[in-house]
Amino acid sequence: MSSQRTRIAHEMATEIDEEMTEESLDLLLTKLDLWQTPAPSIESTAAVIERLRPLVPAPKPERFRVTGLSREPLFTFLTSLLLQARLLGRVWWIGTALALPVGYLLALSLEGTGISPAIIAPPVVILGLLWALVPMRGAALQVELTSPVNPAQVLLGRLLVSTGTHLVLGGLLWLLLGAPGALLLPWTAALFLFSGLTLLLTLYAGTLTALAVAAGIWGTQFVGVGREFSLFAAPWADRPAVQLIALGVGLGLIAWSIGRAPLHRLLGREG
Amino acid sequence: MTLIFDQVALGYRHGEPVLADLSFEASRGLYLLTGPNGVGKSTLLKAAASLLRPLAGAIRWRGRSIWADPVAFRWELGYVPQDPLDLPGQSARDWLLYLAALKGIRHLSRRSRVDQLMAELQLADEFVAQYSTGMKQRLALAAALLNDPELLILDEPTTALDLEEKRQLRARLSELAADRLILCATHVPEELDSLADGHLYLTTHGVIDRGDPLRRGPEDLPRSS
Repeated sequence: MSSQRTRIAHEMATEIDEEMTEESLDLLLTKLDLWQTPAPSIESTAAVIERLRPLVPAPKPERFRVTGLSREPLFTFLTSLLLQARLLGRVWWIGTALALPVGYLLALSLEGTGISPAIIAPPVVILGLLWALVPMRGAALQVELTSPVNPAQVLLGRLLVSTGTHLVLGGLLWLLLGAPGALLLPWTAALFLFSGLTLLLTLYAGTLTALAVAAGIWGTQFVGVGREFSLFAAPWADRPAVQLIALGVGLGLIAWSIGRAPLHRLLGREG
Repeated sequence: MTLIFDQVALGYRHGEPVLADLSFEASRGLYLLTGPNGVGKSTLLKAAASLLRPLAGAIRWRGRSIWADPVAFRWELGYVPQDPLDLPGQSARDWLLYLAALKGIRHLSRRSRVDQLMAELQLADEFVAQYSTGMKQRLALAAALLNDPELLILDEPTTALDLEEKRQLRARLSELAADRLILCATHVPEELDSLADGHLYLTTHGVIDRGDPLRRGPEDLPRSS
């Protein structure tokens, strides 16, 4: 008798409390040989899996930085530039779209009065730039500056969106309205001069001071038009050489501001 | 993954240090920075976040001065400022998308990453001006987490949160601290003490490393004024 047969005979004897005959044992062993394990149901399989699940360690989620980041500085800058345009919001875009044609028509009306049409450009520039630069302060600026970009890129982006829009819209108006070419240079010169001035003042003295100083300079010149102390009414103000110098100074101020870009000066000083 | 302050002096003008001789070392885990009000906790965190250059000494991350290549350092940085975000006329989603671009997140991943964090931190797609102070604080945290930073710096992150928000922040910090360094200034250390792996106490004379709070007696716990 094999050990397996002996063990089964013993187990059955314990179970039914009497010795099995050799015949019955043979029959039982044959049935056991032919018996097929039933396939588990879907429900019972699911129940087993559910009971085992807590014992299996959860896989660690893949770190985002591995898959989602690009370290191309040009890519980062161009993308942020596009999104900066969105950040300026509808009010800025509608305001600019309305202010520029009005300013342009006002400038045209000054032709032949002895007053440079450039006098209309500064308020448009000052308001446009300040709207763009005012959000660059406090906590929001701190978060921007802890991003992997050069502070100059952030500044350049805002400036490009604001000044670029003024230039493009001004150019379109010049083409559409067929205004005299004499208007283009003084307008552009004033645009860049006041852009540079406002930007520099924003960096070194804060946006509100920049607003006050730039608006004060322009206001003084505006009031002085009839009293012979305004540069915009000076006989040499319409000379192209003077306007080119103003344009150059404006570009120089912008380059200086972006090169230095001490944006950290705008941060708070709380302890 | 170690941040080292090596005899650092900090101030906003040359020759006038607000804090001097700051030295400490912090590795993986959550480190609480405490100390009396006005002692300079935010100043220290700004320096750690490369917003303020030290007047003297060196701040090192992974063994290298953070000012050797600040842009490279910021790839691994997330920073939550103390003040609430002031973003007039901007929607939370647009601002996060903008920051995601600044942080170099690829176009294809950007929207999904922003949506994921807005959902996780329960941020509504509204103008930031309409947010409560607590929501602004969560928005700042979402901005800091966009790039899944290795070094997360939090300046008083629990100040404007209600009890449920504090509970959620604790759970999140516990999860985040497992595989990065979190430096967190707080004037209520009890709120996060049980999670902390290290405790730094700032005085006008420098930083005192109080070590692991779990190994300290209650009498050792620093009290903020």
